[in-house]
Amino acid sequence: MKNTVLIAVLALAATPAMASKARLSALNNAAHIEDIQDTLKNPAKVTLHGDWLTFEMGTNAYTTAAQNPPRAEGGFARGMGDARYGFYLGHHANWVTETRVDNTPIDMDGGANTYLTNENPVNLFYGAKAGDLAWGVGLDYSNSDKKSTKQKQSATGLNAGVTANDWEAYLNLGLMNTYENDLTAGSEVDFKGKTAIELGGEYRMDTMTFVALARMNGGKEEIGTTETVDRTINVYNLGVVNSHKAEGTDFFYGANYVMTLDKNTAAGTANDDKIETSALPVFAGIEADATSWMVLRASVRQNFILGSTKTTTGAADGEPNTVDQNTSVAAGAGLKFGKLLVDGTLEAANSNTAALNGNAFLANAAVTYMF
Amino acid sequence: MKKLLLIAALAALSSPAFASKARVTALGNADHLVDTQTVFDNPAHLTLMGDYVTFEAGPTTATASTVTPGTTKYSDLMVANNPNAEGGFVRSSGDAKYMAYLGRRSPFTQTFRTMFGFLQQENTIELQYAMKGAINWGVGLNYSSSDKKSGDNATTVAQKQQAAGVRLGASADMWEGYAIIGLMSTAEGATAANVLTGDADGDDIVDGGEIAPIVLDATAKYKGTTGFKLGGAYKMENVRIFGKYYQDGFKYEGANTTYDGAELTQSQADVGAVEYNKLEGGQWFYGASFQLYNSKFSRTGSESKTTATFLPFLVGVEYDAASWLTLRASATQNVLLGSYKVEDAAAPDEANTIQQNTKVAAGLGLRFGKWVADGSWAAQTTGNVNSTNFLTNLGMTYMF
Repeated sequence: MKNTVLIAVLALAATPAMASKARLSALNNAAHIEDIQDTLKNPAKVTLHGDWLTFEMGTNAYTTAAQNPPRAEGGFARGMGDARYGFYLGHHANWVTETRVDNTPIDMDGGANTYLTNENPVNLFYGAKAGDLAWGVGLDYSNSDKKSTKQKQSATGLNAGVTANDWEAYLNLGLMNTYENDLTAGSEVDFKGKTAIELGGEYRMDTMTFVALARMNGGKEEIGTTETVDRTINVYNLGVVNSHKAEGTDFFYGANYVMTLDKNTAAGTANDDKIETSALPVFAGIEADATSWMVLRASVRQNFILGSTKTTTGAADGEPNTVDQNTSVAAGAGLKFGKLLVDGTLEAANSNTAALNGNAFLANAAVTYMF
Repeated sequence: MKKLLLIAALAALSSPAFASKARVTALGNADHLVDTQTVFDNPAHLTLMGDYVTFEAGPTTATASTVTPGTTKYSDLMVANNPNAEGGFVRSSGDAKYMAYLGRRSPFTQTFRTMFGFLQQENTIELQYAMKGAINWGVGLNYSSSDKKSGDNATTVAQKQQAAGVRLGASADMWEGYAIIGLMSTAEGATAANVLTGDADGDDIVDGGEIAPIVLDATAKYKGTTGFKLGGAYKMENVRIFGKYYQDGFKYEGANTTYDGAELTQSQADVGAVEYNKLEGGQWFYGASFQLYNSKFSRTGSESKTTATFLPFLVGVEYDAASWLTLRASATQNVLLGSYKVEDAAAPDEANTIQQNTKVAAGLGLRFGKWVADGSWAAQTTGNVNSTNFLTNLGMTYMF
């Protein structure tokens, strides 16, 4: 019976509506949402969504100084018996990016923002079903060597995951994360990332989905012979989502408790810099078929009472502030044309005028073909 | 028979087209409307609608209207009706309804705290509960609190704010009544800001000489004074007679000797009637109300009083133009009676008639299954309907 229910759920999950960053963004990245984008986090999910081909539109000018999304990326997944494999271009893994960009007062390269990002990254993933379980593994890789500017970077990561009827778990490991800049003699920048570990899981019980995540990351930077950054990033997230599904509709609400720590304890700096945050965001959202060819989705999110941000800069011991006003509405639409789906976020959702017009209609567009 | 008519009317009012700030605005805030937004006046309205989830588009950090000397109208600042990200949902539990709503903020608090450099309400949450019965009733509670010990802006002044309020409401076949009570509104620590000193020439325009800059002040305090709104209506056939009284105010303390001890109190009383008539696939209505507005702003050595009366006439229509489209529009204007008088040291204390204030609001609702996307027609002030300036104030609602 469980298998029948699972098959029915998976059949629903495999509909063409489930396929983009725009969709996840419009739905507040709620934990219970199934999307082909999850494959990049938990490769076992490549077994859940059929064969697909997806393209996320955006810029390729992605630097540590200007990280504005959307970014161009895309890939495919194809079946082979009970197994499925995929290839994906341009997905910039967060475990690399977050160690190479500033989080004031923790500045990389003295705040110069000259670090290379993980350029032209590729992801390979493979998953297979084994009874009630599905498992998957993935590999991320990026490498650059700019001889004219004497910059190098490299990043390699491994992903592994398992999904079952009512639970799933995944592990993302950042094995190598390096950056060098030898342009200025005596002030060469040498960055070596620490092993990045992200361990996450979900447990589903009736309409509830419980989620837990622990993430550790960091890196050391030397400029010349001085250690300027010894960065440690810790993130912990516990959450719950209650999802009420009916024909063509998924209404959900939930909360997360998120704690983050980003600190620099470099030997070459007189005092530690530290940013500690906690937050209790609550959210509600819905995805529902508007017509046979269109699905609309929207969500609202805001911090709920608990939460603080404390920034300690050098010798100045920071004081905790409550979380800033952060009520946000996100909305989007998916247009279905046979097996092709065009997803986007409604620009009006967070604009100052909330205007829906020909100049600002859909953003973060993605095109997905479900075979 | 009357009851049947009423039930039919309420059933129509709970159709999927009825769901946004844009709709209420396009219909001139007519008093007879029942909408996902009118539950913030009378939470008993929850019982008159089905379950829904609603989203009002807008920025996270919506602020009060920007003041442009010589252009901005005082009356627009009071409304502070800018888009603001907010949303929530309503679900049933037997005869009861409960609502959770995020991001709803008071226009008055938003306007005046901003003017004096204080924190606005942040991350406001509102919970409402209502029960159906011979008399439907509802209650609501809203709360917001912030404590920025180190300050979060370049001027690094520590700031705090708190705000809380309750809403009570009841409705029956023939009548309804409600009360909104502000329990507290306090703020401490202010950044540099521009204070409006008052409409000295009574032209409703914020002139350059009516703005006074104040500097950052860690000792500044904002304290809301008695704030409440009481309202009620009696329904006879398709005529609704209504009355409401609103009062709000605040007191300012700070190092700025000009404004230390300044106090603003304002009130407005409305008595009016609106007749609403069904159309095939819609409704049209007209009405008028008599409004009495008082405002008093006092500070050391200066006092300014504004007294105004208005007799606005309202006419509006909402019509299902197609199975997927509802169009709506309204026009308001003061008619004959009305005056505006400012009493202070500078202006002659004489009453003027009300300035030209004819206003058309329009909007539309697009229905896709159980979804409704509502918006205001941006053309309402320009007359230009085009693709670059089409809808504003987008609201999206899904009726379960």
